Amino acid sequence: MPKIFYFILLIVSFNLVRLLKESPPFFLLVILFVFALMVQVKYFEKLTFSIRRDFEKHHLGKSDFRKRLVLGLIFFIAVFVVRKAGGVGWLFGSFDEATLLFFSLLGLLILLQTSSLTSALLAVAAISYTAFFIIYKFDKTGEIFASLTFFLFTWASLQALREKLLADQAKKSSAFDI
Amino acid sequence: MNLSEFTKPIAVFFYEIIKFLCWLLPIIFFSYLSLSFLLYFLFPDFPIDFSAKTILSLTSDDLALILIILFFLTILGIYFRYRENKIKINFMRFDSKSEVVVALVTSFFFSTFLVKSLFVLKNFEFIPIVIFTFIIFLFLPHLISFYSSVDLSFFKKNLNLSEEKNTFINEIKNYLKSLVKILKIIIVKLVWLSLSVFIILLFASILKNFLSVDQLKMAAFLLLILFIFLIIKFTLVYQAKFLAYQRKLKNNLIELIQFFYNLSAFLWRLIKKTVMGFTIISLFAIIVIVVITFLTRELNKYANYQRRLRENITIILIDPSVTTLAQKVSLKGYNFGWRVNKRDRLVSDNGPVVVDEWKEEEIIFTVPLHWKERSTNLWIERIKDDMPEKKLLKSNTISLKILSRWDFFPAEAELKRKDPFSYLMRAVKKIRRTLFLKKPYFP
Repeated sequence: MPKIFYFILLIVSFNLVRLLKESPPFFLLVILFVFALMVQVKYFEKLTFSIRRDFEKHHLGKSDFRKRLVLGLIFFIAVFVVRKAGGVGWLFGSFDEATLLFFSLLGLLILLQTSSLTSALLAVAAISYTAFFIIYKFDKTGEIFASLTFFLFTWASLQALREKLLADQAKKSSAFDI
Repeated sequence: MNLSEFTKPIAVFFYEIIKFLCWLLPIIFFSYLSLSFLLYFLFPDFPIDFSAKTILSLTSDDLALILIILFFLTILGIYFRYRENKIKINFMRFDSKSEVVVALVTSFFFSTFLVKSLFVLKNFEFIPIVIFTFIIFLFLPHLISFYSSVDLSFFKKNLNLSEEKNTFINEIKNYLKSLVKILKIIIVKLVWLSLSVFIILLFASILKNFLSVDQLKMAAFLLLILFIFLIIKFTLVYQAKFLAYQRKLKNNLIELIQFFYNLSAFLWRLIKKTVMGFTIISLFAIIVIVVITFLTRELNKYANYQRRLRENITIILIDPSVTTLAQKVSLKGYNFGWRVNKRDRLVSDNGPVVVDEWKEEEIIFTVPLHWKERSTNLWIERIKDDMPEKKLLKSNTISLKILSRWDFFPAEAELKRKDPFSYLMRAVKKIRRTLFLKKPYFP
């Protein structure tokens, strides 16, 4: 049933593309269309699985998750309000909007202990939106998503490097124990 | 009814509303703010006018004030929960290094924001920033644990009948068992009796055919047989058993009546409590929704008003608002712009005013000597060059009260006089100057 629903949604989206161009519903439709595509390729299942695995790995319970989510949101707000007041100029002075957005989400990424796989999956979502926003000439939004993709992939690479180093360290220490 | 018995539930009800609002208002505001920021920065091609005109148009000062109010609400909520032993106060409680780092950065950002928005002495900002960072860092774990869990004990208490319900469920089970037992006995006995009556009737019918007696006699005979049979059966054969069953049945019936009485009483209490619970919760929800709607509406209205002020030519302050002739007056506001067009002017009820200084947010002029001593309206007129037909833009009107110069300053003759009355009058005028013109000395 959901498959049929998404299939219909995709067809409708494709057909409405030409009719609704340069109107607000078209923008929403692009968002929904990419969302539906990601559902079709079971993207969200993989993302959920990856997030769950991260939680299990770091022994995060439901209450821990809620607390970290709240702290992440407070951090997110703090970044924007301090920038609005013109504070911390040495940091935010050189930030463009996409960098600021990534920086505000960084707190959440750190707190929820996302692995390199989760970050890479998020980057995949961002790159899909980048592609479609640029195709349909939403340049500013496309640029924001392109920068987010870059930042998320960089973050994923750094995390992968860190994970590898930690794994090597663990191997060495276990060999030393033997 | 005792007055305290009546007022106590009402007090508890309003206490619960305040407690719930202490949690809900910050949550709603933070969610609204973060969602507005996220959508604004993530989808610049799709601006949402509503949030851009309301919450995002708030100035840093207003936002800082709102955050401070919400912080105090949160502290109040934490205090309520602490008093009910539902939260533990334990400063510096973080579970991991990442939490410490993020909390520290968040505290620093918030303190910087508050100091930048509200602190006047710009050269000494770092001192309050450090102090506020420390204070926010101490409170942050409690704020997080407070926001991440909601206290719904009041709702549960109003709808929960678990203990009484369990007792009654067990009772219902027992009574149902005994009811089934009684029904079983009654059915078995009725079947047996019917069978006996059928056998007797069959026997009588055979006898009637055999003896060929008339119908009336036969009926009397049959009734007699039936009566004798019943007497024999119930008095001789089943007397003891019948009495035992009768006793049991009677007991069971009494129990059954009692059970139905208890059940109906319980159901009445259940309905009453459920209705009461739902009424209280509905009232609770209605009050909460009304408060939130009112606050949101007022906040949006205020933000929208502030935005309109900043977008139009607006005079927000005149300093001093009471003055005399030949005194300097300053008008403060938004969008006064550069005076590029000769027709851009400051106008009063007495005609155009000669301006000493014209800046984006301030205009300074001297009150002309020909103005009359009365209240005078002032406004700004500007020609908008980039608009069709060079449209004239007008600001709002502000009133300036002009009093006699000699109400504030001594006349030359008065200065020459050296009598005590003259000194007294000069002192009074000096006080007036201090109060109204805020200039106690001669210019």
